[in-house]
Amino acid sequence: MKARTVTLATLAALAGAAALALYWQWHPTPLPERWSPRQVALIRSLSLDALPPLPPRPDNRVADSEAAAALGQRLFFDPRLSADGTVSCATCHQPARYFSDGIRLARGLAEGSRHTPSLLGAAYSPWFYWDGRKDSQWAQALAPLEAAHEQGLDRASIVALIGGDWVYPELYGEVFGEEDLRGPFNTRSAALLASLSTALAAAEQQRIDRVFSNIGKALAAYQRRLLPERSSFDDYAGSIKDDGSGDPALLEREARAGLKLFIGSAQCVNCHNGPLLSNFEFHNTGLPPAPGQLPSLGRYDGIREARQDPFNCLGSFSDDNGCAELRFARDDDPTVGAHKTPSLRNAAATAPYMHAGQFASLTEVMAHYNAAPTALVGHNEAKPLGLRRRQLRELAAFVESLTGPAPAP
Amino acid sequence: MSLILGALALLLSAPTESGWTVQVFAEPPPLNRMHTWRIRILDESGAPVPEAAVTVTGGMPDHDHGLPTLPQVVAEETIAEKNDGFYRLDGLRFHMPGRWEIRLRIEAEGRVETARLELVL
Repeated sequence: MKARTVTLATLAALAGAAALALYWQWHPTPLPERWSPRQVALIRSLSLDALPPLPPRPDNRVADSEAAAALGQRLFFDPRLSADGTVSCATCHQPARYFSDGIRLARGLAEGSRHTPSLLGAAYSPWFYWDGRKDSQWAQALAPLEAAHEQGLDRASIVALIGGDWVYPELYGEVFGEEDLRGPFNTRSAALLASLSTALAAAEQQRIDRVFSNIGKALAAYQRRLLPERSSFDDYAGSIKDDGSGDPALLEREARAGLKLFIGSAQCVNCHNGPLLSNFEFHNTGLPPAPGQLPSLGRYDGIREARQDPFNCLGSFSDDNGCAELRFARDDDPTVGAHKTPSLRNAAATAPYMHAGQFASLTEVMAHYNAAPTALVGHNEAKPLGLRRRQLRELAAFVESLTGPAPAP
Repeated sequence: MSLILGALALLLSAPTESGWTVQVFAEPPPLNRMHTWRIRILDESGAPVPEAAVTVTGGMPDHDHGLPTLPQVVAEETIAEKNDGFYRLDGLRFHMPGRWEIRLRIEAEGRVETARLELVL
């Protein structure tokens, strides 16, 4: 009888402890009656209402030309710009998927080693690719055209295709002038190019590179207009008055709690700041490498590649020579294993996550940042957060509230 | 003076160890945008310090990390006169909200001075 009482008491105590633990893990984050002035400023800074006009791109003189954007749009969706005629930019950057592809690793002609990022708002970044190996959207746009696992063409063939097309010469001519398209040779024959005198071959190569770079500039003129749409978070942020009160009907409680953590103890806003929720800077966050891949050196390699790129801002095809980003970029230890902060706009609709699609869900992402494991290469800038399970779910709910309508194709 | 400084207001000012002054003339710093500061270096008597070699370091002390860029300082020749202690600090970008620190090492007139500028974004 006594033994049974003890057992019952133990069981009751255990049940109580379990209930407490569950409560501890799952009780919601308390919300303030009103946001503090600092919180109000941070929340407003994340709203699309605070998005400045598109940054000027002096390295691309046609960046804001309607005609260039029309040409770029046509090029973007044209699968003839690939070795087998099946792959366009839009193969991986699908409008209905917020200009991403929903798979772990990009797949053009073959599988690549990086996850496809969304293009919405990308024009606000000074750097392109996860490792920032391109310093402009137009220089970036050129790389997949020639990459073997993406579109796999070569620039001479692309220039010949544009020059010999029914429609492109007129569209191209309107923006850049047609004389380069006619060219002295306009050939895709390597043998013919090889037979030219050195001076003639150099002139021909120069012409091809010029047209090729212009194709990139037109693609950039189109892509820079791709912007995220308003989300429920933006409506809520817009409702917040100077006294810190907002309309709670515009954002569910779970997401508001996540917002509080996002700009507070979870420290997400350190890197995911501004209306696109990215500082477009490079950070080592101790990510695991993708299965079968070595850990990426990230920005350490990226800045070195960017400096070597003949199509960079300081190169002869750029329309600018200011190039502050390129000239003042860091290349030392903190860049090892660092990758570019992605925008969180529409992130909930664009899984998987990270440069190699390492995480399948936002839940996995939050678990990673909560643990902040030691980096395999370089140094993890993030510290363990010690957040409860409910708080991680609240953060995910906030990220979900950044989803707007998908772009029309 | 207002002609020289254009529309830029004094944003920050800090002393060095032996009483030199570093003044920063700039707009309130933007987040995530490359920008330039105009700085002026004055000695303990308030006279401009020309031809200084200035190097820049800094970061976020609370986060234990440095600047995201490698800014550089070059002397600026103004309309009024040359070498009146004005310099251009190029290549600044602040990529996080919070407390930042900019440290200047000034080598001029046979000595080395350091100044620490603090700002909150």
